[in-house]
Amino acid sequence: MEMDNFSFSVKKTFTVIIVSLFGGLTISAVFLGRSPDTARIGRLYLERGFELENISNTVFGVYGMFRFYDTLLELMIFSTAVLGITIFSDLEPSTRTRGEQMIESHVVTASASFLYPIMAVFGLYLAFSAHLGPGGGFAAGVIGGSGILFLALSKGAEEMGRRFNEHTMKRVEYIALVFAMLAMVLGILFPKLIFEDLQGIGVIIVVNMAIGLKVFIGTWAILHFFVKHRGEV
Amino acid sequence: MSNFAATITIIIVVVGAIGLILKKNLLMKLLSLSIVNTATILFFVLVVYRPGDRAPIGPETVSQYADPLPQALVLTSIVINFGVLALSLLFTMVLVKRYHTLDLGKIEKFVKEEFEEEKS
Repeated sequence: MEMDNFSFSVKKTFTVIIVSLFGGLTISAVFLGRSPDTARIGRLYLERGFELENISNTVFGVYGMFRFYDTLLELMIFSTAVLGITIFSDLEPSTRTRGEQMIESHVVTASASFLYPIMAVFGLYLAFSAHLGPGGGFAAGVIGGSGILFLALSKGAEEMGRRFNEHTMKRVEYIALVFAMLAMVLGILFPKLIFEDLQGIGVIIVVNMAIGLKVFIGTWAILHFFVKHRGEV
Repeated sequence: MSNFAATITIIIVVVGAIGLILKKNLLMKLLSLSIVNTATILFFVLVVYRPGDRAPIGPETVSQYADPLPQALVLTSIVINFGVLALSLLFTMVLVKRYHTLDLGKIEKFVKEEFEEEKS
């Protein structure tokens, strides 16, 4: 037993040493490397970003135009997480019986009903205007999903689960995902047809709306799962 | 000065990584993972920070703008962190429902016992 403890502490020390060594190497690389003032990684993107006529938000230009695969695979990772949670949610329904809902404070219940429309409109605005200013599909979806979570905390998760029918939501989510991916892949295959002939704008807004819808439903699915199962186990 | 700030973020990454490896509690592991991710985002922000930069929106000359690439990368990283954290919390819930403990050593012992029972 003592021997076992000893070997474990050796393992611990070894781990600390290795990880600290990695940290020290990174720190020395930061100090010895070029100064951050001269090393501008994205200068090329900045210069090329201004060639896109209709996109004044260069950050959106980078992840929506030049690094399209990033966004595509990011969407796939997010969908995988949502898929895992929906599968588990179907396998093991909540053990909580009805009427056992936790009671929220009056501040939450009173403010949710008039704050939710503002949040929804803000999310829509971010999805529509991502190419002009700060925003994007992901941010829009997460804001909308958090708004619905807010509403669910005030009205009860079961009530909201009934109002947003799960099967319909799932179908809409898949349609949005397929639509967004189709538009993106078509954009990769025929960049001229889609991004130049339509001036980019129409397709960008539609793709952003589809991503926003997808992320909105996915965020709601994840948050709904954790709200439904809170206090269990 | 941003070099020293970047050093602090790397120290935070090291602390998070040590916690991720050495902690036995599953929730503590996830917390450490979250710390590592947040410190990485902070590192990105600090490395490209230059006083006087503006957000890269609108028609001005290139030299006045902040670097857009790290901003796009951080955006990706935040979404992926959200997905990974949600899915691993779900798996933690599955394990806790089955074994009623968060301790990884105990869970390993239970799994080993179950495996030997099945074999015999």
